[in-house]
Amino acid sequence: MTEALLQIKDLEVRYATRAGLVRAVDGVDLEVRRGETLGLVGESGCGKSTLGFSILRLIRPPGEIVGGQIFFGGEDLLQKTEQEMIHVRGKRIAMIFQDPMTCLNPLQRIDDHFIETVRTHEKGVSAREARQRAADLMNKLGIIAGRLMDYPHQLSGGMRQRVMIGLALALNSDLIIADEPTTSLDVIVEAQILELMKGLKRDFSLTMILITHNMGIVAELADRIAVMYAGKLVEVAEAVDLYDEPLHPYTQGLLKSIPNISLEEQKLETMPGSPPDLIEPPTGCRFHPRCPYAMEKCSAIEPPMREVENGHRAACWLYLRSQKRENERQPGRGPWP
Amino acid sequence: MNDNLVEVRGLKKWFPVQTSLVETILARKIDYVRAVDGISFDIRRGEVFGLAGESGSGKTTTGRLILRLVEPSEGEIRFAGKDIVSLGSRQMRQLRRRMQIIFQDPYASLNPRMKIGDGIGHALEIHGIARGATKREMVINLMEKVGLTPAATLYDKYPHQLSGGQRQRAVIARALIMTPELVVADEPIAMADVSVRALLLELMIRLKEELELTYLYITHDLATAKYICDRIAIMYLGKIVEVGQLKEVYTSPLHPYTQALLSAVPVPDPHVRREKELPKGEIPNPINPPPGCRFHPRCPYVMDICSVEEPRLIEIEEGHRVGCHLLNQDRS
Amino acid sequence: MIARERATTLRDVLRQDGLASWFAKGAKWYGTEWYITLVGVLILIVVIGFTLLANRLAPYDPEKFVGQTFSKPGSGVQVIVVRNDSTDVDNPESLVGKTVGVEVNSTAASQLKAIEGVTLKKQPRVKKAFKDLLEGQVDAVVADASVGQQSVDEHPDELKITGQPFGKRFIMGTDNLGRDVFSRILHGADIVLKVALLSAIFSALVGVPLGLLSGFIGGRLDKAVSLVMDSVYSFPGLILAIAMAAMLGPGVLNMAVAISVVYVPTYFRVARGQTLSVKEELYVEAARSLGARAATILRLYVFPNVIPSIVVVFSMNIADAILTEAGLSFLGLGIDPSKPDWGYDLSKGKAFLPGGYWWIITFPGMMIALVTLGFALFGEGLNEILNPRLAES
Repeated sequence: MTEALLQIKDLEVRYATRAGLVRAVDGVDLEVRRGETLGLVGESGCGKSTLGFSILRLIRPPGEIVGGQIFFGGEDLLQKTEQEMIHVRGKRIAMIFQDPMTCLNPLQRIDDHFIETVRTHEKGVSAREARQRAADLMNKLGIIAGRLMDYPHQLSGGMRQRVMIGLALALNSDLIIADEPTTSLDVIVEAQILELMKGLKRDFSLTMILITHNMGIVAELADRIAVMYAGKLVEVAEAVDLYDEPLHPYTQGLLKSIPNISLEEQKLETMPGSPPDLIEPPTGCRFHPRCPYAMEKCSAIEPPMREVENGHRAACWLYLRSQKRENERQPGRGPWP
Repeated sequence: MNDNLVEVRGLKKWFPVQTSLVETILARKIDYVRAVDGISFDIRRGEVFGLAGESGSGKTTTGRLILRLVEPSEGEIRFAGKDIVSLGSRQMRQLRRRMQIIFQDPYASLNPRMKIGDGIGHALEIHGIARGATKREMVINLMEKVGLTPAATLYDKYPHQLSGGQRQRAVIARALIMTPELVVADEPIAMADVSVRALLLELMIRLKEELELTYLYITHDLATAKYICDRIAIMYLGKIVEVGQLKEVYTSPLHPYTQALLSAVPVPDPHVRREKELPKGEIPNPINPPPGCRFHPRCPYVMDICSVEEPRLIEIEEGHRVGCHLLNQDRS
Repeated sequence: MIARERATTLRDVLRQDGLASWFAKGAKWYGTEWYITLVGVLILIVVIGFTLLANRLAPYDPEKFVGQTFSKPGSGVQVIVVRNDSTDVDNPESLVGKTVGVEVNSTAASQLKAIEGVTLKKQPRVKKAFKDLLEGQVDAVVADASVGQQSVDEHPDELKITGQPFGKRFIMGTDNLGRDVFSRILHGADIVLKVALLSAIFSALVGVPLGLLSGFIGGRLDKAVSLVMDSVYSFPGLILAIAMAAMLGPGVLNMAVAISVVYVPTYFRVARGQTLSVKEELYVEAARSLGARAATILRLYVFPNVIPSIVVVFSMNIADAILTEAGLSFLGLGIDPSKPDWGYDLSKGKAFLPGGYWWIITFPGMMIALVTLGFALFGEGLNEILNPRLAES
């Protein structure tokens, strides 16, 4: 059993807004195992990006991490000083952002980006060495050496994203957090980057958290998937298990409402309502106003996250009734046939 | 009997590129972004015609051109048999009752200073169809149809008080208030939350049946296009490369770009593992598109002729046309 | 941290009734800065109150010389000092037929002059007047309360204060001509506000439509009008106002027009800039797609979205216009100099500062600053309200 590289315990992140306190992440427990790609999925506002930023302590006011622990390499990242975190960021945990144009320095050449990154974290590396590393890396990423002398605005969107990925890999970080890495890209380029990331995953044995709302790319890239809704984790499972047998009604609804181009015929099923207000979320289970299986309990008490099957967790009262008779298979165990 | 609602022939739109004063003095040559560079197609009454492509393909501009929200540089556009390019502004305004647009961005396309109900119903006032209480009634009826309930309450709200999904419904309602014949839907669900998209799609389908609409559905999302479109045209760098019945195009894509595009679409199913035939490189700059076939620098099947001569759209099967030298060769 | 805690508390407070919930409701609707705008509004209410109630509130006629020149703030109350054996003098009326000692040009002198039948014996210094009293040369001495009290304290066995202190206090002192500063402040508000408001309205009425049309239509019209506006804009504001005021002559309306010319380009620029950006918005394109005519689009889609920035400019403009008006009066180009005007008083007051007479310049200056602040805060607040808050996420 591979041990957890990152362990998030009961994380709480809040934003202060004019209208009130937004509970963006409201008590999340999650682990990331070494060598795996964990997909963190959900719609906009569910808290997945906030969670990603929290790991690197990149939450700024009016946002604030108000509770929980994030264990990485035996230490709680939330207890570290800002100075210590600077050494973690980039070196031990790297991040790939959604829009490369806003993350690359428009006044710096590409190879200078690499040289600066490498030499900041690894003292004693000469410029020539760093440049060589950059060239090797860019080669693997499909960018010819000549482009290294270009400025960011001279590159296309896909290339910039490759550069971002390269920068994230340059320091051989233990963990990579990719926040919507392909959302701003065209379809074909997205596919190119996905293929690239698959290859890199293999070659570098990457441990990655892939944050996205796109259920298609996460199906291709992720080993395990965690589904978030309204600031809470609702389901965690191996990728195949999640798609084959989604347990949480939200996951089910989500998967049934996404057009799947590989299906001959498809009837989309719609979920009524929309994601809730995070300032005053619904009582009990946050999904209950939209859930077709809602029971009385659901509006009163929040269901805890429990392991329903091997490695497959869900936070839903439908599965917790069976806690009492754990060894029996129930017909009414879940809505999924 | 011609049941084409829209006929487009040789449509072009070239945008002049802004240059600095110095460049203008020295170079004397104006560059153009050839957003739409000679396309022809028909939209049949009652169908959902898809226009798919990536950025720079010209699909959005085409939608605007058909409504003459942007003036064509060249070409013919016929609506219900009549040419619309030469219409004066007054006649065009009247024509707008019959052709409407659903915008992509529900945040930006609603007037922040107008109540939702007034925004939806403004067209009724503009064209003298209804005002006051009558207008309000008509708008509320439509709001209920599109799921903007409780309609009477939401009527008086402002856009910033509504959710994204509600706003998009308002945009849809605004386009439909005059029961137009043609509706151009420009990426209507791209900015909505994933769980809301299916709702909006189903809504659009339902309304199409009820109000007997014809859609021009512009999108980059081929999975969604498959769900809603009857026929589809694939655009690349201002040209149509393939057009035909949706099932045909998706099951036997003939153009290499179409093939690449379809294989690139991510599938929400981890069991599906496809060999992706991805072209190398990225979409080039539309200011100076590659000579000959625009796709040739990236095409895995490129031949000599491709860099020299632009392929014409040839009808390979009934209703299925492709612009590719590979297929022309076979036929000759 | 604090914002977070306050926000939670606010939400709880919202559920209760009472003043606290009212505060909280304001905060919920508007954010916790709303009381700053309230301060601005209050200032303006006070100033407008001054304008409307000046006649009732002012203790004195602002143009008349009612007191001793350079009386300190707080002075003005007079007392009658008599010898201890005097019995028939106990109020100002009983001074009729008597000889009263006063300091020349003092408040007492001006006030007693108004009473018929009183003989005044003026002395250059009030001390000499008291000497007269002690020597029996006058029946009574009328002087400032503090001075009178001082004398009585020095000669407790011979002098006493009779009757009640009378006369109205000069809350802000008197100026170099013996006019009550406070009354001038109150009456001055009227002119200042009128001129500033009128000029702002004139500027807006000219600048905004021009900016809207120029921005919307574009082309050569835009280039031509922009050129004119930029030329006017490049003039230093005060110089332009001076030129205009000199041309037009004195008077409230003329001043307003002179000042308004200075600000027309500002409104034009803001309106045009906003129009240019709003013109590109998707909802304007949506209006065109509905078949709306240009005039309709301008009226319902462009103008309402341009207006919020104009309103902010308006309130800032008024503040600035007040200062310009003060400047014009300062230079004597404004209205009739005898009429109370903050700017004019400010200018005159400058000369007396070295002499230690600080109140003549301070109070008008304070008022100008206060009103400017009031309008500025109000404008800021208006900005908060009028700009729509998009997506609550």
